[in-house]
Amino acid sequence: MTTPLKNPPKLARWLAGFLESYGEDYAFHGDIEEIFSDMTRDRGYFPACLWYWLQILCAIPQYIFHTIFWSAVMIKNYFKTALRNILRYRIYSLINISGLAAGIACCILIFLWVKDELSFDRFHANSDELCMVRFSIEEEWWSGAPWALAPTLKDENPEVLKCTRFFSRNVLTKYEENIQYKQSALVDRDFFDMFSFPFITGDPETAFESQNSIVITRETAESLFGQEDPVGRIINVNSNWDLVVTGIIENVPENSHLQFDFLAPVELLGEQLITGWSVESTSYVLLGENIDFDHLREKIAGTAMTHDTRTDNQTTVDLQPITRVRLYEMNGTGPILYVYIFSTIAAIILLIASINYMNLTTARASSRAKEVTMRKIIGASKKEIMLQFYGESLLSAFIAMIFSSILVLLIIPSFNELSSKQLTYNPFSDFGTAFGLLGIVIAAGIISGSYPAVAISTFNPLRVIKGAVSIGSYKSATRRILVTGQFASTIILIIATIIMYNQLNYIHSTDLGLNKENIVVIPLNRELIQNYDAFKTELLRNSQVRNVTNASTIPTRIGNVNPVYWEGQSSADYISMNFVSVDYDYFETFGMEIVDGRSFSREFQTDVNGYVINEEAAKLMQLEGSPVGKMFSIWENEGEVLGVVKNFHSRSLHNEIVPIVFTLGFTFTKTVAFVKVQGEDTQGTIDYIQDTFKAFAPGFIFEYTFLNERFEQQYASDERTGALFRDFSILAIFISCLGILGLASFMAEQRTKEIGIRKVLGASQSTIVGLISKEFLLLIFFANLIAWPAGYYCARYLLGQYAYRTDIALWIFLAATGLTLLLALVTVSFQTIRAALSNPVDAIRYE
Amino acid sequence: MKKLTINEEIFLIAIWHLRGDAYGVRIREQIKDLSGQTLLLGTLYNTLDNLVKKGYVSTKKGEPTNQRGGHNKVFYRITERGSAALNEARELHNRLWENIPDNAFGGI
Repeated sequence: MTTPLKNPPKLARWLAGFLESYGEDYAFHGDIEEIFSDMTRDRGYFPACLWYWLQILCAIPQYIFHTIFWSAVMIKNYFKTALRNILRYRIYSLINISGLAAGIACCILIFLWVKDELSFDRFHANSDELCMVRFSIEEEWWSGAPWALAPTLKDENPEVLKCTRFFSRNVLTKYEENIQYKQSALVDRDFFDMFSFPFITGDPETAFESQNSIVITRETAESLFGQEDPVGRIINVNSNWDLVVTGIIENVPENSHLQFDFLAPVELLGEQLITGWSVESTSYVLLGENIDFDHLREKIAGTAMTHDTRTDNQTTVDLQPITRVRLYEMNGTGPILYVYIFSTIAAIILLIASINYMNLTTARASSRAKEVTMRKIIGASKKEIMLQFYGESLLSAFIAMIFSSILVLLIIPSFNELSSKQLTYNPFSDFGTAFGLLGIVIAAGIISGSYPAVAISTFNPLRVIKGAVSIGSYKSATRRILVTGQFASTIILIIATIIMYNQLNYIHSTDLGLNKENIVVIPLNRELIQNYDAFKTELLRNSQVRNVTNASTIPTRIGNVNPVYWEGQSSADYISMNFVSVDYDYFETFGMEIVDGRSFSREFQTDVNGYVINEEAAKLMQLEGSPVGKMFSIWENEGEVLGVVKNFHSRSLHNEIVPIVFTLGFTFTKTVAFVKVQGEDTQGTIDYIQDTFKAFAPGFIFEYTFLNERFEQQYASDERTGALFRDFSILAIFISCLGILGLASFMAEQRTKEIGIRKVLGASQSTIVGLISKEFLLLIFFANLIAWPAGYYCARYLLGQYAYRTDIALWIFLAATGLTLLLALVTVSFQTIRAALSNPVDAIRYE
Repeated sequence: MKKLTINEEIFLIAIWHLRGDAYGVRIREQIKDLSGQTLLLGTLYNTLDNLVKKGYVSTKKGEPTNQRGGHNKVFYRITERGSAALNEARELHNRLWENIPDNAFGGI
């Protein structure tokens, strides 16, 4: 019967195509068509289609099962082969695996670091709705905000559900004989609802019922009370408040930017202060879910300006999500930079390690040519050969994973110290780490295997057996590019390291404009402030004490911006300047030079209203002549400019020098005293100071630091970055050397015949060495072409973080290149010298 | 030699009945006649493959036809091993049912 053949439904037909992997001769297809056409004839098209669909759908699950089963078998096969291959070429496999292990270890460390940084403040239940209140005066962003701002925001905006202040200071805490300095945090009641700091004992609802309450952390409980139960006991804080312990909370996690030893109600500071608009405390708000965040930010921007009419300063209010506080400043950048930098370094190092692997594997491919060719002849498809090499690279990566895990466990303690974190490496308990680890290892395996798999599976087997062609010969263009890339990355890393090192040296050696050596910093307390003059006189009795002065804050923390006015100011300018209150001997103690006018003097009574400004401030005043003698005022306090002092670096070298105003008195309490000592018998002098301290303020702990330690802290993070760069550069160099070693030995092997013949023809040993080295020299030259511009760009970027920096000198680039050159030559020479010394007869006889 | 399962028996007997014409479609029809079972094509081929693996049947390719959309037929033949297995199965069945009267299990 010749009915026109109707076709089975197309979609089902297509699905049936999958079943083809059962084998080309799978009669299923033919049978199903035959029955289909019979059915169409007998029962109609649609019943036939239905039947067709049924058959296909039911066949698919079995097919899936079948495929999985056979894939498992195949994988086991590849695994066995891969393992056998790896063991067969032991030395090269070892080099490969070491390189990969180093690269993977490095990636793991950086991964853990980045993970920790990104995890800051995410442990709160409300972490997505919590925001820090940000406040700026004249475009300069502060970390604090006016006291009354947060409650005002809550009152005026329904989107703001809760708010709290967070005022944190290091204060003296006393329980019976235990006197210690602890980090306090004065907060509102909403704090417990907003942030997730779980209670061990006590109830968050009632913890602050009474104003004289205190909630302490487990650590604080142990250090103040030992084994006793703290609840109900009274702790004396700041010699001012007696607070009852109403609760104990868990220790504050390390990845929280809010750090404290205990919490107390902010009302303790007094109603007047906390309803005012001066800027002192950090503040936080809890927002509702699904609110229009940007709209809210716009709405509140002028809140401070509306309520605080004391000045005409341009202020802005903004909100920063709490999860961004750690990594981002208000201008968009911040420590997040380090996250990007280190992630990039990790990627580069992994890349270098992978390139090593690729190079070595393809270089050795010619030795394995026969093996691969035999496989092809037997009928292995291209895909199968590729899978074999991917299998080897993945297996190498997994073996490397074991070594790198050991390496990481060894290095983590010093890494933690370097980065001041408490990272742990435990892929068994932490899903995030396990995931990351697998990701890194698989990435390493696949990248490393990609080039060899493709290159080796695509060569022509016939020609290789004839011996005419070697796979990816030592002159292969791709390999040259890879090696050049490796050299280039190494050179760039070295350049960056040298730059950082230089900058750090520069920081250490720059004249900061003040003398910070041998100055002991002592926090002042009420007793000492009351009897300051007597205290000072007593100290000066010691011959080792050269000078004593005090100030409202240490030179590195001069903040407190306020608007200033002066005679001759063009009315459009409202300039804000930093100010600090000091005493008569301030400038002398620090060795700050007065360049115009004079400093404060006891001889002139009116000096209590006078001001000294620094050069930067004078510059901003834009006056024709000297500013000395001109009228000057902060807020409504008018006075005369007595003198101009030379600029000094109050901020770190990251920032420009700011204008500073110095005054004698004011409403600002002096919080710290500075004692300049001679420098001989420091310990004895310290003891003397301690005794004097105890005599005047018996109830207080004597704590002191040296001023230059404070300055060091500013650069702590820079020091760490420098150290990390250095360590990673060493690692990169190590990996590169491994790669070169492997490559050089292979090249020497490859060219054994050639070398043998050359020797017979009379080449000297040095010529032979030169022959092989020449290749590498050429590559390094090209690597420089890439590395120098890239390195320069990098250097500019790194130094751009500093307002005051070193120069980018030529010798840095030369040194980097020279170092790489040296290392390459040393590694290569080992192999080439061996080749040069070999007996040519053996070489030529080599089959 | 391992005993034949009942399904394998049915398949082998169906193939035997079909002599030279034992390919997918026919085997399926024959099994329907013999045992009343309508097999899915997937199941049919799984069992046939198992039979081949165990060495009871062998395959032979046939010519493609238009009706089959250009695919060829695969003919199945019982091998010596298969024959031996069938003999054993018959012997086993005979022994089992030898002395049991017709209405031993009640009913009819």
